Amino acid sequence: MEPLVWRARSGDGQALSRLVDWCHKPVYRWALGITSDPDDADDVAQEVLVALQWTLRKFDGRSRFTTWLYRVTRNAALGLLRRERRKERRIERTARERAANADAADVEHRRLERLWSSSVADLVKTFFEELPHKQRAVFDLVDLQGYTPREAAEMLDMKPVTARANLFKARRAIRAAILARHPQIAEEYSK
Amino acid sequence: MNCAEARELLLEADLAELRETGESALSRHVRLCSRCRAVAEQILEDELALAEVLASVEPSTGPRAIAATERGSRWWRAWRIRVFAPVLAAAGIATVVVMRLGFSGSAVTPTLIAPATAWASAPSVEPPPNRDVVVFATDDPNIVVIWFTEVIQ
Repeated sequence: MEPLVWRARSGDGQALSRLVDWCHKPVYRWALGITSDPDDADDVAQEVLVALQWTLRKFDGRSRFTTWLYRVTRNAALGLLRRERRKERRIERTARERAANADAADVEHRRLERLWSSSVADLVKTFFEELPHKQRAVFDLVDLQGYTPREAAEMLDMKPVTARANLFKARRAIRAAILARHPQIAEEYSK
Repeated sequence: MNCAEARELLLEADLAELRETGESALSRHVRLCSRCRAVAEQILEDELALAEVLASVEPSTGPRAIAATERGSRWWRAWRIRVFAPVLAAAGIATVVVMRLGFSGSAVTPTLIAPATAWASAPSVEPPPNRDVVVFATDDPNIVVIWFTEVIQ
């Protein structure tokens, strides 16, 4: 990965295209975890990847590329959420535009439907609606995507102890929701 | 460790401990206690399912589309640097010349800073993300005009 990054950074167009290909899925997945919205995650991924040719110049190799890229994605996602707040005034107009574009609305609807009608929809709901942003981000990186707590702390620019505290709180919320989905286990357990 | 203590720990434990691969007191308890093992297995199963559902949501814009946007953006940027910037510089010079000619009889000396033709030798400036930059040197060696513009996608 890193040689590809350095080649892309030095202006190799082919390497940049391959890097964009490679980055697309993780950037989208990270953005989804932060924004809670597939459509917003698309916007963030596009913003991050289109700007990669310029932002890559700021990558100095002091951290791992994925750590750096996560931070870039996080900043873009938080920026989008800030803009979203301003955009709320324009929601009505956006809704009209979406309704006008039936195909796009269909795709979006199907993607959301897959999340909310899945067998773990209640967990998805807990994940997106009940976990505060920081808890969700740490839990997502560590328990769902397999990063170590130390890596997650670095990616989120948090102290390791803060990351672990957020991770424990998030696990408590998610696992309480898991036990609530299986009352027979909880009941058996309380005997 | 009894089950009540184990249950408290299960709510915060690392996945390795739930998988009974750890060497902690909790892992040992989970290996020996079927009820706690059932809870640990259910947590692992549901967290895995959650991860799979979230991973199954695909971006709607393919990397090819993004690459095309990026190529377009690069082409547009290069075009602006090669064509727009010299034209702007020339227009600036023309404006200054016209103003000097127009005001030559006036008592007021125009204070407009003239972009010089040697703008390309001005220092290179790195634009912030999502911005382009055009640098103009001026007749005054102490003054450089740096213009950050929106990137037009």
